[in-house]
Formats: sequence, structure tokens, C-alpha cells
Amino acid sequence: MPIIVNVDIMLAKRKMSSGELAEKIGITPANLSILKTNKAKAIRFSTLEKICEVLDCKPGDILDYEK
Amino acid sequence: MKILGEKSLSSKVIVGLNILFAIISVTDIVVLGIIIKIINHIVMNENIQNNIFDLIVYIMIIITGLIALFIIYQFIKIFKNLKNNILFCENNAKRLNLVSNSCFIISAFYLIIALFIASIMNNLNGEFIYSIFAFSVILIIIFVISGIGIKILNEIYKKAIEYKEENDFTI
Repeated sequence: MPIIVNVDIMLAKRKMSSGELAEKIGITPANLSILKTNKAKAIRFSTLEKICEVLDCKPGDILDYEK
Repeated sequence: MKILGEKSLSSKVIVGLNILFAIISVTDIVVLGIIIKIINHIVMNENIQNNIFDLIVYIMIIITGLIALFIIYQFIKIFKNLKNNILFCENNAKRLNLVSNSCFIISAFYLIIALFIASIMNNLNGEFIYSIFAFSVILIIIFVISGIGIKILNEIYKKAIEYKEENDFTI
């Protein structure tokens, strides 16, 4: 899929662990791992909103498009 | 009544299918014995015409039996998955596909038999041969309809697996 999820980069920038993020946005670490490894087929707006809120960023900082 | 999981309808269906599997296996073994006996009669030149008709009928039974065993085995596996609450897996879809293909193989086999009987019908006008012809035609219709039905169900099942996968990977 050409949509790339860059949660890892934002996590490194914010010096936050995956477990912490998962806990704060209320998803399981397994689901966060699916998201990080680009295996996810879709992302709910509510999840995206929470990620942006916790990481203090915009959707464009997390999602990227590569041809 | 519970349909899926332990102590449900699917676990009871498995028992029924296992019994059916055993009955068909025993029948196939008995029929195999009869076929060997008939071949012996043919080799010894005893009433060749009648023996050949008997041989055709018993070969029909044994081949149908073997394919039926295969179909029942696939259904046992599918129902075992349902019993274990594994509903949407690729394996079930593959097994349903195998079942529908088996149905088409049985109908093709009976079509060949029906065509063969139709070709010799004018020479031998016994009631027996007409009944085998009618029986073959009915089986062709039943298995073609079943094969198509299962194929369509399989496609629906595949779609369901796709949707489930999409749902599982929606974060």
C-alpha cells in the first residue's frame, strides 16, 4: 500500500515508547504494532485524532504517500 | 440451540458425518469385493452381457462413494473449524471450493455414463437400463445444482473473510 504510517518517527521525536502511546490512545500494543508495520488496512478518524492529540502533531506528520 | 462452538449443533453434525463416512467406507469395500467377483465371472465367460451391466453399476457406485467420502471428509473438517469457533479462515473457503469441484466431477462422471447408456439404449431395451439412465440424469441435475450453489456460497464466504480481515486490520 502506498500510504506509509510514520508513527515511529513521531514517537522518536516525542521520546515516547510504543506502550505508552498505546495506553494513552486506548488501543492494544498489538494493534499499534499493526499500524507501525504498515499492515493496517484502515484507520478510524477517532484513532487518528487521539494519536495526533497525544503526539501533538497533524495527520500529515503521521501519514505519508509514496508512489 | 447453539449452532457454533462446543456442545453445539455443529459438534453433533460431526458425529453424524463420521457415521456416514464409516457407512460409505464399508459400502465401498463391499462393492469392491463384488466388482472383483464380477470381473472373475467375466474372465470365465459367464453371462458376459449381464455381468458388464452389473460392473458398470457397481463402478458407478464405488466412484460416487469415493468422491462422497472426499466431500464428507471436507465437511467434517469445516464443521470441526466451526466447532472450534474458527469461522472465517481461508481453509474453509478452500474446502468449500473442493466440495463444489467434487460435485462437478460426480455430475461429469454421470454425464459420461448417461451418454454411454443413451448410445446403447436402442440395442438393449431393458427396464433396468432405463432406470439407470433416469437415475444418472437425476444425479447430474442434483450435483450440478449443488456444485453451483456451493460455488456461489464459497464466493460469499470469501467476501466475508475479506471484510473480516479489513475489520481486523482497521485500527
